[in-house]
Amino acid sequence: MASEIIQGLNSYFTFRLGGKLFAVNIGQITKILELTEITKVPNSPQYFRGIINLFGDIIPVFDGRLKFGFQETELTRETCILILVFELDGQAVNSGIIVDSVEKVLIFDPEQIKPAPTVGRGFNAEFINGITIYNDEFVIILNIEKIFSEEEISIINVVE
Amino acid sequence: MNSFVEKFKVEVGEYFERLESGLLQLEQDKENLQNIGDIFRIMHSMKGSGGMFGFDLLSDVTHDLESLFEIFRSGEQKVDSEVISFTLDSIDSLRNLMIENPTDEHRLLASKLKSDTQKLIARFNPSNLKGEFVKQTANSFGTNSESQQITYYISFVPDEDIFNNGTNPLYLIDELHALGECNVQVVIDQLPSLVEIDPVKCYVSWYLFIATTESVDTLQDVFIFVANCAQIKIEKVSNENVIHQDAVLADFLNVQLNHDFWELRETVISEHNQAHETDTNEEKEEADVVLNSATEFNKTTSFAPTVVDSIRVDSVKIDHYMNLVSEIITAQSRLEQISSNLKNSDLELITENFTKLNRQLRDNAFDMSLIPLQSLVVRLKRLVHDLSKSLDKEVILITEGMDTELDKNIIEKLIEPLLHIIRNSLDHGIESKTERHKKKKGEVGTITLRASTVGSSVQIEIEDDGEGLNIAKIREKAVSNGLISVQEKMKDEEIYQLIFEPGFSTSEELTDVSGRGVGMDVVRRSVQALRGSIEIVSEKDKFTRFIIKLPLSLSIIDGLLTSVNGSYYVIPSSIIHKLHSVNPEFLKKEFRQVVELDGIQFPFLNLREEFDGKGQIPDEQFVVIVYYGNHSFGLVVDEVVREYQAVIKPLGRMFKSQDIFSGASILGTGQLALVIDTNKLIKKYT
Repeated sequence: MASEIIQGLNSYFTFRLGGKLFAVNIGQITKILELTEITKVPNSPQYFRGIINLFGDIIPVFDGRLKFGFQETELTRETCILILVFELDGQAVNSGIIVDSVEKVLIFDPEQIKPAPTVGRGFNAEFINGITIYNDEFVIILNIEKIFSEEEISIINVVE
Repeated sequence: MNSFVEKFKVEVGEYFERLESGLLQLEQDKENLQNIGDIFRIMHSMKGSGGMFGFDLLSDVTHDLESLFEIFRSGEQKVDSEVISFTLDSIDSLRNLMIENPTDEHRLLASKLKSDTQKLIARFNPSNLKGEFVKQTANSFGTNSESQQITYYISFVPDEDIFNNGTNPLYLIDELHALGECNVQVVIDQLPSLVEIDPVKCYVSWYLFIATTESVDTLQDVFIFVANCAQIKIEKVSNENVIHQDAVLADFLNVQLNHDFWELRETVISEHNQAHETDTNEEKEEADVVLNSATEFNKTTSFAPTVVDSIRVDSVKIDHYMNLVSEIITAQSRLEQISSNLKNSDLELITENFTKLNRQLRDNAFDMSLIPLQSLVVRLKRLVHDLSKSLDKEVILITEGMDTELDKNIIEKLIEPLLHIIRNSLDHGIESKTERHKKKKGEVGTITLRASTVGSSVQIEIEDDGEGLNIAKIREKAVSNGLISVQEKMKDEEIYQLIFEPGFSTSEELTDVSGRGVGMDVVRRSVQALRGSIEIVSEKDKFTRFIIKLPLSLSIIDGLLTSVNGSYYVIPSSIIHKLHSVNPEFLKKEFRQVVELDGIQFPFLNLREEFDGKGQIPDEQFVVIVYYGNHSFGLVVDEVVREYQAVIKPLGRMFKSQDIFSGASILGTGQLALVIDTNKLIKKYT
C-alpha cells in the first residue's frame, strides 16, 4: 500500500493557511475537492471537522487552521479540502485537510530547501521538512506523517 | 522459487491438519486400517515434497514417523493412544522444523524426535532393533532374509515425447537396479526403420521383474517424475524372490497378455512355500491394494471420500470483491433515488432489474466469504484430546451442525473464545473420573458443540455434562468482589451471567489450564467485538451451556436508521429490544435519568444532549431500548427513520479517543450515517 505514495519528486503543491504559504510533496496529494457536506462526528475535538464520502470511501477531514494552531475564520469560495495520503504505522492512510486556498505546483531542487530554523521566533521544526523562498515569500514544506501522528499541534511557535 | 516454497508451506500446513484430524479419528477407532493407510500416505507425500524443497529436517523426521505407521498399516500391530499422542506432539514439533535454514537447536530437536520415534518403532517391532529399519511391507516380518524379498512386475511404457522433459529412462532402470535384483526386458517392436526414426522420440519400452525388500511406494517413487508422461504398472508377482524361476515369470506374463487377474498358482511354488498356502486369499487382497494404490498414484489422498469441486482464492481477493459489491449496493440505492425522482418509466424498469440483480450478487458474494465451522473442529478436538489426557479425565467432543457457515473473519476471531470456553468446561465443568463415578454419571464426559443458523445470525452452543455452576459460590465471590451487594436479590439466571464480569474466577487455586485471572470477561468482550452476544445456562450436576449468537457477516448488518438533530445514526438491530415513542417534556422532568415505560424503569441517555445538540427539540422523540450486558438501556433519538441494511465502512484514522462509533454507512442520498457501538457509548456517558 505504501508504495502508492510516490516519493522523491521535486514538485510541491502549495496552499495557504492563515496567510502563510505551505507546501507538501506532490506525491502525497491524491485529490483536491471543493468544500462538500461534512458529516459531523459528535463529541470530537474542534480541529476534527467530521467525515466525508469520497466515492464510497469514508475519509476523515481536519481543519487545517485549527489543527496547526491558527484562528478559525470563515469558509470562503476559495476554501478547499486536500486529500492527502501518507504512511502511518506501516499503513497508507487517507485524510482530508481544509485549507484557505490552493496555489500552484512549484519545483524546488533539494539544494533550494533549507532546514527549518530551530531557535527563535519562527517555525516548529518538528513538523517541517524544510523551508524555501518563492517570490520573496517563505514556503513551509510540511512533514505530513509527523503532523498526523500527533493530535493538535502548533506549526508556528508564536501564533500571530 | 520462493513462490514455490510458499505454496509448499501452505501444502504442508494442510498435510498437518489432515494428519491431526486423521489421528484424532484414529483415537476413536484404532483398528481403522483405511485411516492408518491415509495417514501413512500423507506422511509419505510430506516427506517427498519436503525433500524436494530442501526442508531436510522435516522430511527426515517424517520418514521415521512413516516407518512407525508402516508397522500398523499391516494390522499386525495395533495403534495405541501413546502412539497417537506421540505423533500429534511430533506434528507440533514438525511445524517448527519447517524452516529453510535450520539452526543447531532445530537439528537437536529433529534428532531427538528421530530417536524417540525409533524407540517406539523398536517397541512394536522388537525383532528389528536396528536404527536403519526402514520400509518393509506387510509380510516381511520373517527372519529369513531371502523370504523377505518380494517380486514385483513393473511395466514402464514411456510416452514418445518423454525426452522433452529431459528424462533419461535408463536412469530409472538404473535406480531400480539399486533397489534389488532385476530381470529387465526391452520392448523394441515399436522401433521404426532407421530412416523414419525421429531422434527426439522414444520408441522403446521396458518390462522387468524385481526382487526387493522395498515397498511398492518406494518403487513408485522411482517413477514419480515421469508419472505424467509414461504408463507405469506395478504388480506383485510373489511374496518371495522368484526372479530365477523362469516358469513363474513366464506364467505371470501369459496372464498379463490375456489381461487376466494374476493369481499365484500354488502348484508352481508349492515346493518352496508350504507355509504360505493358507495365505493365498490374503495375497489376493494385497494385490488388490497394490493395484489400487497404483491407480491412485497421482491423486492426493484425503480423509473425506467426497470430491470437492473448489478452487483456492486468495482471501484478499475475496475481501476486495466484497468491497466492490458493497460499493455497488451503495451506488444502486443512489440510482433508485434518482429514478424515483425522475419518474421515467424506462429508467424505473431498468433500475428495478438492476436492484434485483444486485441483491443476487450480494447474496452470492456473501455466500462466498462464508466458510463452514468445520474448519475449527480439528483444533478443538485436539485441545480436548490433549487436555483430557493431562487432566486425567476422559472426555469426548461431539459436534453437530458444523456445516453452518460464518464469515471467515468471524471464525478466525472465534477460535480463542471457543478454546477458552472448552478449556473451562474441561477443567472446571467436567468432574474427575472418581467423582463422576460417585454421581453415577459414567466415566466419559462429553462436551457438545452445536451450531445452527437462526435468521441472519448464527447460534453456537457449547455444553458440557459436568457439575454445573455453583450459584452460592458465584454469589459469594461476586459479593466479595463488590459486584453485587449482600442484600441484592437476583434470579439464578442473572447470577450465572456474573461470571462474565471482569476479574471473576471462582476456581480457588489457579491451574495452568484456565483461571489465570483473565476469564470469561475476555470471552464476552471478544464475542461482543464481533457484534455478538453470549449467555450461560446451567443446572447443578447436569450441564453448563454457553450460548453464543453471532451475526453472519461483519461488513453488512441489519440496523435501525435513526436521526438525532439532523444527523443519521445506525443502531444494530441485533441488540434492539423495543421501541417507544415519548414526549420530550416527560423526559425533561426525569432528574434521575430513568424513564418508566410499560411499568418498567429504564436508565436512558438522551443522544441529543450527549451529541452537543442545539436547536429545536421535536414534539415527539423515541426511546430505543437496547440490551446492555444483562440490562436494558434506553437511547433517546429524535426520529426513527426505517430499518436499514447497512454496509459498514471503517472510519479511518480520526482522533485517538474516538470509539463510540464502529463505522459509517453511506445512505442512498450519499449522506453518511454513523454506526453506534452502543456498549461503548453507554459506558462512556454513564
